[in-house]
Amino acid sequence: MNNSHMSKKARAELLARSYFDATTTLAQEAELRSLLADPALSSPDIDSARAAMGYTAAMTPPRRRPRRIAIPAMRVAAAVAVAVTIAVGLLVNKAPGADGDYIAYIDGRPTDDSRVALALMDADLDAIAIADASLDATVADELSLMSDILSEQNDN
Amino acid sequence: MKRIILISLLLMAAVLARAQDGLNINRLFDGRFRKNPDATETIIKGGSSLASQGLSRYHSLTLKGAAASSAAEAEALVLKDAARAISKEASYIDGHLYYGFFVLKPDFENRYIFYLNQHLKGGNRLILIYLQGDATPAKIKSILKK
Repeated sequence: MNNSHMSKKARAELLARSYFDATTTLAQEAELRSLLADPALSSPDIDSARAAMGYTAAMTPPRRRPRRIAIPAMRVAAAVAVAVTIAVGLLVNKAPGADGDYIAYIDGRPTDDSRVALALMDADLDAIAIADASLDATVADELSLMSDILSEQNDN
Repeated sequence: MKRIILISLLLMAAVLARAQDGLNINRLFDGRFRKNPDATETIIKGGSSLASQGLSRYHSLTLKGAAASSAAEAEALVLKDAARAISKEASYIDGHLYYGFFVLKPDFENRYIFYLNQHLKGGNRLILIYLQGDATPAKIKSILKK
């Protein structure tokens, strides 16, 4: 055994005792760990420190490597399909202009005059309203007739 | 993964179906009457006038004169859509649909069809109207009675 080995062993024992006294600094612990890596160094204190530090090392959770997320091509394709669907939906159902879109084709001629379109709408709805009122009147008349017939039957 | 793709395709189909509204009457709104001198087609999307009535879309077609020869086709298409309506008001003359108000199954918004064939009563117009919006059937009726 040479002096270097002796001094290393003495240094390791000193640090091991300090370690168990909980007085070592982080730098000293690193130095001790480096010394304990030499299997030629051995003594009760050194072996105890080696066992304790080995145990501590075993308890230290392994450093996790960042997990690489594999995105299968099918998943990418599905995401693209959803994005395209949304885009198509927005295009197809695009919002009208600030005060609406007005288009009318009258006798084969187009116009985007909102007043013309609204006048046509009013005219159509007026015709519908007359028919609707007529239907309501017919239903009311028929119900009234039925009511009269039922009343006559009850009177008899 | 196949399930996700299938759902995406169904979603896309639903969006496209919404664009076409899935109605039979759209065959009459395909633009073929736009250059017809006996027809009037009106399309209004959005705008304050419709919004104040609870509507987002108005689409109508009026046929008169020679264009009225399409009345049989129009009636058939309307009746196909009416068959799936959730509410109907209709009157017939000589076995033909004269007037109809049909509340369709909502598709994001409420949808309505009005149909009136005045030719059956000596008139000269066939009117088909498609309405869409948040307006309830009662609100639609109140628009007519304004």
